[in-house]
Amino acid sequence: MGDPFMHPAIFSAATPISLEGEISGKGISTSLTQWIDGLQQWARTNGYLVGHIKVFIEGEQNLWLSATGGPVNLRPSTQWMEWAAKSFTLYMTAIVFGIDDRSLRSEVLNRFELWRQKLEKC
Amino acid sequence: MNVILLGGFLGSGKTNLLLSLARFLVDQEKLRKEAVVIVENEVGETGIDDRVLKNDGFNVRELLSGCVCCQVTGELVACINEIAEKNNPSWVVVEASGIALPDRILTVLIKRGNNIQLLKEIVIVDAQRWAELFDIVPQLVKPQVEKADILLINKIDLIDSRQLSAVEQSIRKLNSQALIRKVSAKSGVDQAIWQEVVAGG
Repeated sequence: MGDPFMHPAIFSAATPISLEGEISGKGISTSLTQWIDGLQQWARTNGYLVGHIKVFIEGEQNLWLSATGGPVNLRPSTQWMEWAAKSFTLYMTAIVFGIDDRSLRSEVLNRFELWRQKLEKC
Repeated sequence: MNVILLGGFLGSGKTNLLLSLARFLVDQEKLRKEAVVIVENEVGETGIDDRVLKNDGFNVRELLSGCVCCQVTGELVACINEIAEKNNPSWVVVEASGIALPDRILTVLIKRGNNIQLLKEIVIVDAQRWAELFDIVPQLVKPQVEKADILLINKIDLIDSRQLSAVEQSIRKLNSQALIRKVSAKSGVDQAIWQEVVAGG
């Protein structure tokens, strides 16, 4: 088996999100920051190195979140905080060293599903 | 057509600095945003950085999958040559993927790129994570730094002066010839630095 830190595991996906009710831009920012923090905590606990985790929300407004193992950086569009979202597209990319593609994909998707369920209950 | 190749490890702040550089080029030369074409290479099946840049009004071409240096170098050259033929913009800024070796891309562009008057390579270093990355993935970060002509040490707002000095010393040991400047994409890059980087070197 080669050096697990030579090549990173990569997972990226895009998914449309449609909600029954509206959620505020602030609500989405907060929940996605927590989601990324959780993923980073999982990586730390298992001794992996986060290369980059990025999420982009594209709707009437947009939000870019990125993290490299530490605090999550947010870059919202100008009206993001005033926006009440009902549908948008979410793009995500996770690049992590020390793990294989399949395991990363599984972890990200499991956590994403939990995030989506939580969002739908808001 | 002038080409700037922007490299640096994952999360070093390439996209934020690219935005700053592209805005500088537009302002300095009083260009329309269309006169600056950005070529984005991202690993994975779905791009994010290209959407961020498009939302800022720039003309973005996307090259997905793998890293530019080994998988899509041919596609990159074809893309640059197509841009030269169809658009012939004043500037093309290429953001290499975070695991690419910019020097290899540069070599191919020198050999096979058409209508390129000026070709510059800038490598971004994450000041906050340098020591950790140098320790865990030296095989990826060292070659990026060793052959760079211009190095921008980014995120200097996140470390103190003693730490910054250590980062600079470590980088100087790897590359004593490069032009090194310290920046913070978050706080804003001094226009004089972009002026120097674009004009000099």
